[in-house]
Amino acid sequence: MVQCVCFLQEGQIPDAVVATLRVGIADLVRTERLADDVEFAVIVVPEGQGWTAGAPSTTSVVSLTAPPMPQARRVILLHAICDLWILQTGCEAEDILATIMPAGQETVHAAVSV
Amino acid sequence: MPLYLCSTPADDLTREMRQRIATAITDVHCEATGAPRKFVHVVFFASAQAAMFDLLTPNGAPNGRCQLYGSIRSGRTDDIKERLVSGLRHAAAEILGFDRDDVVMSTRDVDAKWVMEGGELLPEPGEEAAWLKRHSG
Repeated sequence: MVQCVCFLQEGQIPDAVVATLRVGIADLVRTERLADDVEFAVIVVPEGQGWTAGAPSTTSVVSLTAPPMPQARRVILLHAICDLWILQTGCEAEDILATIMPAGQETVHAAVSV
Repeated sequence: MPLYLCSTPADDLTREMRQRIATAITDVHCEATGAPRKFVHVVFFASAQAAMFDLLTPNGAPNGRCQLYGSIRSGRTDDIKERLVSGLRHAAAEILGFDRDDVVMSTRDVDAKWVMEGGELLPEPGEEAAWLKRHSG
């Protein structure tokens, strides 16, 4: 199972295009033989709740947690995700942040009392 | 990257307060790390989205009136992380009118090579100049 979390800025991507993006991500995952299924969480960030560089954000964040893979394969998949976003949404390359993190590496540095 | 998630039960947080917090996070992060401002993303979660926030921050977001969770590039020193956490808790508490102890924060390291932004892998910390030159304007 691959998990995919997407942050989309409200009003930026129509629902029909979001559906196309989900299909596109699932196709990439299957084509790359990472998994048969993708568990999606699409979070629409309301206007005024997403910021980049201290200004209202236009950035989509696509974060996959997948089985470990060679870096060369990861780069190919990251490019494919960005290309999919640019093709389907018409956004600029600067407006898509994609990550593929290996499952099981959820290291957190709790620093509550600093 | 970095991506900071901010959860607070104060649903009546004004847009101005969110902008001030987002700007403060950007200022503190860039001052502590030297990272370019354009790398810094902030997403706010209202209380109705608390379950989603918890899902996105496994084992990483202790309870507090305001919770900050930062996914930052790997390679930051402990000193830099301390300055980030201390500075961000202080800034958020001041803007929200909370005690500093009411603002809790944790960070998660993410390898730069796992992240693509602007159509390229992110540079390692301290190696941003060439990347920025290609992406300026």
